[in-house]
Amino acid sequence: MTPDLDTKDRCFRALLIWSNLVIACCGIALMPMCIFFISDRGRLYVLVYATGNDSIWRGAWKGLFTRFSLFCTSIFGMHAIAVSKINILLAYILLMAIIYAFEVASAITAATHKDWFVPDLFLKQMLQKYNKPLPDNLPSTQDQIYVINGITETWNRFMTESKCCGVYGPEDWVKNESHFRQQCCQQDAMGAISHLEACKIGVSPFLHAQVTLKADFIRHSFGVSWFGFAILCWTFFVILGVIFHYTQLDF
Amino acid sequence: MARNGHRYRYWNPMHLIGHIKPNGIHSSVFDVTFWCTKVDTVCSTSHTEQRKRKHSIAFLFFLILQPCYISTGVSNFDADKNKTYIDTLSPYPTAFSSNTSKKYFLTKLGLQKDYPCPVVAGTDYFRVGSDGSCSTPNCNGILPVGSTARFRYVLINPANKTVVAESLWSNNITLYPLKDPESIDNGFAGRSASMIVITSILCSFLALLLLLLLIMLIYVLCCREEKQEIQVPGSVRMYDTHNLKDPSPYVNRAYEDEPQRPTATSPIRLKSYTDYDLKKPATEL
Repeated sequence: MTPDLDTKDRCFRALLIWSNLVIACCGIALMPMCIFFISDRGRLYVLVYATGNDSIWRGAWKGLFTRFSLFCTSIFGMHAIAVSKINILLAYILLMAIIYAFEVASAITAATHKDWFVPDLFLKQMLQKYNKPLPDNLPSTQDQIYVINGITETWNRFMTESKCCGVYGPEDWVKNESHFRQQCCQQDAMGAISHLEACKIGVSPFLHAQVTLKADFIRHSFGVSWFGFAILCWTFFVILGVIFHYTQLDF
Repeated sequence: MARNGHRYRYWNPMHLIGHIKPNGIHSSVFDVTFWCTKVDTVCSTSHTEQRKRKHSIAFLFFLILQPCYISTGVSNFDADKNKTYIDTLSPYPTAFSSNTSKKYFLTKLGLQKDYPCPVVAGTDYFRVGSDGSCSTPNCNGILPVGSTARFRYVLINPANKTVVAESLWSNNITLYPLKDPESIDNGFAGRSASMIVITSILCSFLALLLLLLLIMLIYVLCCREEKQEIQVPGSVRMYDTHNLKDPSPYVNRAYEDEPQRPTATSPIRLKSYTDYDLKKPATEL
């Protein structure tokens, strides 16, 4: 039925099939990165939620599903190119274009919303909400209660586990009309403070004077945006190749 | 002014913590020497003197330097120090209360043996302001926020409360000014370079992709031309099979229904068979 394929065409098809294999591998490898980000091992979501800019999680959810779809569609694409029937190939191209658009949305969302996270944002939030008295327990104040409790627990955990104090250091509490924090003091294995007086006057090992490290999720969100960008650059050229191949088919 | 060896640690503006090493001062009248050690110097004053005299030792003064005001705590104290009952001239509750107050106070009056010199992690220190907001005349109360302070030791005669010996003034220590947390600017810091790169490149890729997809669809549906089958007149009618041993002419069955050879008056009519199927009717080209 169909004429014999010449060498060039065969090479081109092989190249496209290999490219789709690469997309499949990338998709399935990068999907767990989104899962890791969403799972929020450091339990930092409440800090971000309190700022009102938690769209980075939406970007990660989108990325999760698009990368899995890329994996599935590129396997389908390998079959479609091998068979090279018109309708199947057209279906592949349209599917890839749709998934491409969603992955672009995911990468751009993650990259854009990361810009909101400056240290002063978390400093102000910490000073305003850490250990503040809770409002009455009404349905309308549940969100506030969640935020205040969440911020207090998160910062207590930070300061004791990571041995730091405040966003920029102990001066945060001093300069901004706040109180001395016992979580900034060194604790022994049983959880009691080693030396409270030394901590109060700021003697070095007894007071944690380090800066809180930038929350890890800011680094992990690089994975959502930049790896998405990488996979999209590659996929763009693969789709172009398949479009060209489609136009060269005999109908 | 005492300079060497001062270490100041600021933790809380309410509690200024200073380590002072007053320089050695020898008082000729009472033969007392302050050693060059830290704040707890008073504890290590020579024991012989302690047995001989029971002097009250006052600790740090807080004198506020206010450049905008003509009279500062330092100058006020220097003006007052030759008077008797120095400990009552400026009690703590009124020391900073108004623009006309003297802006200094004496604290921690007591005998040397009663003097607190806690040792914390190898460092001796005296913590100013550790009594918090207190109201007795010579309590160790908190300092005004954002002020600049200096301090010194004095030795006081317990009988008429005159100053008999004093250390030098410390350096200026400026306390933290307090900031309202509401004033912190947590606003947007501007777009980062990575965001601009990602957004611009991906948007242009997506736009290009959609454009090319559209062009492809239009091309495929509308603008594609029918492919011509290449026909060379005569060459398919009868040709050699190129068998070297037994060359035999092969008659193409497609032309069986045309018995005569083509001439100028009866040229070959080329036919096209759909799907190369000779059974189906041919269409003349």
